Amino acid sequence: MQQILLTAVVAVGALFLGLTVLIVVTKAWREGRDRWRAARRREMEPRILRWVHGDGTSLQVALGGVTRGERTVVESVLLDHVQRVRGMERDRLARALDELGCVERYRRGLQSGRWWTRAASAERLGMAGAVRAARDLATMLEDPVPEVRIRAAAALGAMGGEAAVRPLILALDEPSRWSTIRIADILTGMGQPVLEELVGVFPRMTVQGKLAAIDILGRVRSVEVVDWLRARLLNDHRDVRARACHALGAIGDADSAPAVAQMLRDPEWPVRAMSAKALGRLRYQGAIPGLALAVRDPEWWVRANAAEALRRMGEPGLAALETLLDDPDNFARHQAVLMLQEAGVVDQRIEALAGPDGPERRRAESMLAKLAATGQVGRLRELEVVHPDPAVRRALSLLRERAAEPAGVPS
Amino acid sequence: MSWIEIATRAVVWFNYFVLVYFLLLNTLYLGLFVVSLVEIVRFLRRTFFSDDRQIMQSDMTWPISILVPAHNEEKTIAETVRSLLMVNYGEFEVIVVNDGSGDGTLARLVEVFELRRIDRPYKRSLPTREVRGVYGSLVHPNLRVIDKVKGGKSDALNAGINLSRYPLFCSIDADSIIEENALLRVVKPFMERPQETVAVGGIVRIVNGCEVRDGKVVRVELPDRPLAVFQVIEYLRAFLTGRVGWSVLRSLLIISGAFGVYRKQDVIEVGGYSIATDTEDLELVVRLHEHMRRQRRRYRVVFVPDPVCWTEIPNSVRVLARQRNRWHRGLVQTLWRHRSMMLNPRYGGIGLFAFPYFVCFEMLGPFVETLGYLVVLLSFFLGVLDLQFLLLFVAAAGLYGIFLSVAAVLLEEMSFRRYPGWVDLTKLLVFAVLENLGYRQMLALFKVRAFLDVVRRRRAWGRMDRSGFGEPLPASADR
Repeated sequence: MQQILLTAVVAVGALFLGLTVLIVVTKAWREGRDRWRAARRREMEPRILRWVHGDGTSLQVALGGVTRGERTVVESVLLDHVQRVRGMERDRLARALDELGCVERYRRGLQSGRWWTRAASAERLGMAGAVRAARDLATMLEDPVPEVRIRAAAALGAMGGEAAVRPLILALDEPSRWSTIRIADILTGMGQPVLEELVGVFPRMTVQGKLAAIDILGRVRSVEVVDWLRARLLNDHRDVRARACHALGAIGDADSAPAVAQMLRDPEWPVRAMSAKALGRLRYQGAIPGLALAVRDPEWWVRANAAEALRRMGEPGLAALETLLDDPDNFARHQAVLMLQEAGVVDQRIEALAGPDGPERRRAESMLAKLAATGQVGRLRELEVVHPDPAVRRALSLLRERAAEPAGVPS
Repeated sequence: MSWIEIATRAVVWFNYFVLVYFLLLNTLYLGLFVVSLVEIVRFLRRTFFSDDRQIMQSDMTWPISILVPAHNEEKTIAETVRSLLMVNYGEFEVIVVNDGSGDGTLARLVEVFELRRIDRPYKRSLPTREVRGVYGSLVHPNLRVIDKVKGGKSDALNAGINLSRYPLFCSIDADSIIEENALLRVVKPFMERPQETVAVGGIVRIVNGCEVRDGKVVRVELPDRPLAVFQVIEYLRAFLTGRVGWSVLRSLLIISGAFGVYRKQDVIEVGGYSIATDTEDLELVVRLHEHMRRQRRRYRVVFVPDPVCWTEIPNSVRVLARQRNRWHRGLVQTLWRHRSMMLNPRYGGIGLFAFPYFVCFEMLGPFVETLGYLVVLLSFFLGVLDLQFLLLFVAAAGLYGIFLSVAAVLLEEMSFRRYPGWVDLTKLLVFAVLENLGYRQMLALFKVRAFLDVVRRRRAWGRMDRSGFGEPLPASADR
């Protein structure tokens, strides 16, 4: 038994020492390497940038030759800058990457057995704008690993490769919301060219793909798709109708507002909620009566979005919210109070109590009396105590008493 | 047979038991370390490609409510909220719940963020103590503060859930700071598998010793006090080798209350946070497991080692004792409350593996350890102490403990490298050794006492002395 324990002690001790040495050596090596690279970079980067802005043909000649160790440094400088510049400078940086053999290395990397090497190679080919690798990248769209497919598609997208558009659109159907977000981002970045393809493929997509497609159309903000989106307001699926409302709101096309306002009467609450939200973005004042009705909706999200939309409409919307203060619907009254408070209207009216007697003050008293009657008097109570003007404190106290607020009503 | 013979035989049998226990426990720890090592390498490869910007900008990213329960957090609350308002995320709201603070927590919030009372209607999905008022800010429209009667952290979190608008919520301690991109990273598992993910935890690191400016950790350094450095090592081991491993095995029983994200609907379905235990975070996760398994739903509870939450830890033995007492009480209460899961095949790996592990090693481990020390004394008095065996056993146990701590340092060095200096690394390695010479034994005693407190039905949260992020702690403050 003791022999076993002794062996265990020696083994664990050796492991401990081994680990400690490993940690120290790895850290020393990594820090030494990073320091050397940083020093070389400080020295080489200005020369590389001088070459980029000049008219010399070869970067290697301009640098007086590049050793194997320096190649990594030069490559990282080129990759950093190639993402930030456009036009001639970008072309020269891309050409330099090619001259250093990086593009060929990346192309070989696409054949690697390690998925992360394939993904990194695809990404760098995109950065380098290596058009001659477009076919290799297109084949990577069939890679079994989603990360590689997405990097390859992003690279093709960055090159403006139309070959990537359709596979990317089809990939919107993947169940991972994370993949969808990234693909949608790539497609959005490609802009106008993807719209036609997106609209064409739409009927064959899954519901999730359709929703992502509509979001992309909203983010691209092209008025060309407005009519098509309006037609989606009649789609059978409630989420499609809801996202179409959202996209029309994002595009901001004022002509679509009446159609979106119609959706406030949709039987499905997510559609009504999105319609209200979109109308707030469109600031369509014709929808104010409809939104005022929607503040009484049985569903919380519809009420909240409709009240928020009214608040975003400015004066006319705030006036509509004031009329809701004595609405028979309890929920509508509460939403109206909240929005008027958040818009600063309640505080404005309270300040008006300190002013001279006149229409402004009477309007304030009338509105605050209605507000006190809703029972939502947290702010009134607070100012009744802390307001610097004793006249205002008295007026607020009087208003609350008149409203005969029952004691202990929770706010 | 005389009583001396009986005692001698018992001591011998106990020695065998301890040996088997030791072997089993350390084999499990080693297994967890290997699993964690593999997972961290995989994680680093996956996150080599950063896509934080895309998550932030997308309309498809779920909006999130950040809940901050606060009780007497006057010193740190403003910095915490400021850091939260600066996080990189698309659509989010911050809800601070002032849980009956006796200090100036609410006044500080009102002053710094220009709060005013608002009358916000909300649905009471979960029962809570009385809410005195809701405050909003015209300057920060996504900030809300709930002022309520004291009901404990669970009650405060439940009030926050009631007021929250969004489908995900993140619970954060008021003495904690999350990194700018932490939220984007912690919601990633929800984006990857939206139907299955119910809860995700991030890594909690120690802010003591670091420099905090404007709600951000701007310089990372190890604390000066030995007690705090021991806790750094402990946290590294617990998060990098423990939680990563349990997460891979789909048996993660705890998501730290300091930083975790949950799907609101699921939490409401199980009744929210429980006020019946002292560690609401552990109990909630166990209850979620229980509920999901009973419903036969496909689900996952995940730990992500990258999104970082910085938190303040106890600087004195007194406060540490209180904190660990509460943690261990909570563990015992939770395991007892859900005892039907123990060795129950209905709960899969949780019932057959994780639960027995927590009962046998986490809950009872400190007892076995303390009993071991007593048995050594007893053996000595009985004259049956095999000194050579004892020394070898202590050496093996100590070295193994050191090995596991150094392994956690290795994981840190090969992955996130938050402590970049050589001085910090040397300190970590030295304290990984020293930790086994007193600190570990002290924790075992705290836990034994906590167990006895549960038996005696003693409950207290335990005050945590805060020094605040901006101000250096006076040397004599909490000795």
